[in-house]
Amino acid sequence: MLQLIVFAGFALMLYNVYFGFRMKSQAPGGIIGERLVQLNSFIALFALGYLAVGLLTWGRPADPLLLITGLILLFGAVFVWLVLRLVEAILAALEA
Amino acid sequence: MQIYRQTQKPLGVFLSREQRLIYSLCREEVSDILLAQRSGLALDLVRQILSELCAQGLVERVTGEEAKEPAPSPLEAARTRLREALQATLGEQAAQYLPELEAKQSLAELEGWARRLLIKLRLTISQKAAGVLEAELKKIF
Repeated sequence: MLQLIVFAGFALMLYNVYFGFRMKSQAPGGIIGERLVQLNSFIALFALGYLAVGLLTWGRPADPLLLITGLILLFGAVFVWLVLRLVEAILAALEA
Repeated sequence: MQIYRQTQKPLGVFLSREQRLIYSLCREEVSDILLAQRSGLALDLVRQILSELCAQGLVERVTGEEAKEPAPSPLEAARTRLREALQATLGEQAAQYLPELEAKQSLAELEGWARRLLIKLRLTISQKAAGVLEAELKKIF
């Protein structure tokens, strides 16, 4: 169960990495462009963290603490996705 | 629209305040419409003053081949300056914004578009270019 949650979070973070870098081409510079570079770097770093947590907890019995940690990681990935969606909406509004 | 300019005749008569203003603005060849804009007087009044000054021989109407190109409209002048500012700040990238720039039909529309472009530049292209363009916009509008 824990591994499932963590790897769902990892998969979402991988998508976020792709989403973030794809969006970077729409904002090559400026405030959003500069912040996207930092945001994408951290998303990639956190994605590696998700992978590390998944591997380190592999085969371990699921205890409540690990389960809560896994859920925090999963919802963290959802939060990052929502932030990227917000940036995407701002870019679309600027293009309109 | 008519173009006027001062004659060589020395100013030896008393002129009213408005006449003096129009007379001094006619130092260069200038249209009656531009005179009205620069002096802040109504166009009818400007034309009346010009006819008085013409009657006194202080100002003459420039006609025929002597007439120069009319002064550009405020919209055209702003458009030209904005085009130059964009090309100076963005280089070749400016080309993608020029068709939109040319499509604007009024000064207010042009200003609104330029302000939106400024925000877009600041957020997604270059803060430095946006700073330069903002300074230029303050001069234009």
